[in-house]
Amino acid sequence: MVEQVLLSGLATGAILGLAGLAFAIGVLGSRVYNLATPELLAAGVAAAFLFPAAPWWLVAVLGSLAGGVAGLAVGWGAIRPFLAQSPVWHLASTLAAGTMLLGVITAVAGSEPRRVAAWWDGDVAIGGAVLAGGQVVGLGASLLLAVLVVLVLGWTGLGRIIRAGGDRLDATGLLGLPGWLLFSLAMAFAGMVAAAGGLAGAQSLGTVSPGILAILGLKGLAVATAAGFRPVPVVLAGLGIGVLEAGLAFWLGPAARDLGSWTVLGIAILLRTRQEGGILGRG
Amino acid sequence: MGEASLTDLTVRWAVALLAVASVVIPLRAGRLSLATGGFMAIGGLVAIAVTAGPAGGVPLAIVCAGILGGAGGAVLALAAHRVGGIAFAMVTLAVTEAMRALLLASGLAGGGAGLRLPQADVVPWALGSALAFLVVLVALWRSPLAGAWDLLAERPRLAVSMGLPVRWLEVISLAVAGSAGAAAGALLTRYRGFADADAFGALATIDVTLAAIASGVDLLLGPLLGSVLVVLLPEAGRVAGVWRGVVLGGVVLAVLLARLMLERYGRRTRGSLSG
Repeated sequence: MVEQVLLSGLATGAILGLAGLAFAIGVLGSRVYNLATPELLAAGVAAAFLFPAAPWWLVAVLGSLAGGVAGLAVGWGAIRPFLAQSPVWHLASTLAAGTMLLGVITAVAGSEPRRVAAWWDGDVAIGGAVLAGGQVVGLGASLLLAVLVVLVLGWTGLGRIIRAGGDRLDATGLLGLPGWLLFSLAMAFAGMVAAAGGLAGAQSLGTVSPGILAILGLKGLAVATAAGFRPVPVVLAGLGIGVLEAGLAFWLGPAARDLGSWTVLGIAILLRTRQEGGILGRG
Repeated sequence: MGEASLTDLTVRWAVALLAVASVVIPLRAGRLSLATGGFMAIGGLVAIAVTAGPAGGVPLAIVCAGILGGAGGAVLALAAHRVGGIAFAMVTLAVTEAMRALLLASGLAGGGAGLRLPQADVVPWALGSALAFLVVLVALWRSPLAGAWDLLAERPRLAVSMGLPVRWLEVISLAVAGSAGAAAGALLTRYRGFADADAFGALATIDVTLAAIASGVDLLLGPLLGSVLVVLLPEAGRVAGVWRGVVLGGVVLAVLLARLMLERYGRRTRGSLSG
């Protein structure tokens, strides 16, 4: 039974980690906190809703592309005009953009929870736990994607370029790297990661709605903030919160799950912010 | 317009004004608070606990909610001292979601099914609370506190180096915000005669926050406009149908862009005049 709790916790945690990574990419690439990231998760699942009979690889490509386009739209419509303003402006404009994006997604793909077909039908037994095909795909894809994103951000030219844009977007132009291109890359990459996370989440959860994914994504933002926007800690924190939630839900009931995870996240953010100051702290 | 719908509009406007005030006051001090749902949940809990007394316990519930919400806001301010930006938004979101989960987990609000309460005539108390908070807002906006909050919002380091009592500025802003939010929660719960944890969640908070941002925080007219916007949201939702979110988000984004352009135009005009 412990294995079952652990694996289902890891499945949810990997999605939280991916949502957090998508948020962190925006922060690393533009120093802007994009509160529309949770809705970018929902952009991915819209493809699965709109094309239920399409092969899985086509849904994955379309979903990721939709996320990339939505990320660009949010970046240029709600972040770029306010880059010189204070963080409160960014939070407000991206919150509004997220509401618009979720509005578009629910208008086009519907707001009701729907069952998403599993991309693989088999069951896998690990120790005493049995995972359904969708859960295996969701967990595997989320973990693989999280590792890939961490590698891209930390060890590739694209990652270095994205982080350079976040450090001094205005100075990158002097080095021959156009700021608008770096910004667009970061926004599109964050959108694609979030949308892919949404698709993986839909596989893990089985039945989802854009609203459910957006709420899950909000928790991902808190995970990223608590982990200080560093890619590896974000993934680990996501997995930890997922396991904590699964344990609380199993031993204390489903209602204890959110109470425990939000309390831990709130305290973790407070402790980290007090410790660091820096970009998180005010003083 | 019938008497029933006028009553409905009055109470909804009063609740909206109090909820918007709980966003606007911290925003004036430069912090985006998403704790409105958490404060409203405190008020909802008080409304469940206090159902006896004059006028069905409504005035007592509002006063107790205001005191408890204010205390909750003060504690939050002390815990989140000098926390700003995204970290503050996330901490306050955690407060809202944890309070919603607490209501569900404890069963105090009837769990997922909600809890029926005796209905009461809340109109005079709703109007009284809204007017009282309007007076408080006028007093705050005209006091030196508003100037100190403005400085804290625009130049936090300067505010610290000038020796402003930053901790107490934060405590006052969140205590008043908590008081207003909790009073809104108590009123809403007693008016509906139904306690429901999901009415105090993140999604409801985001709607109120967007309305508050769209209306602006610099003038007293802002919270008034914001409360009208919150009341009109369900009507707009009926008209806009599935595009409700697009309309709401679009209006807020357009307002922010307009304010940005006005700010730049003003700066350019001042620059050319002084040059």
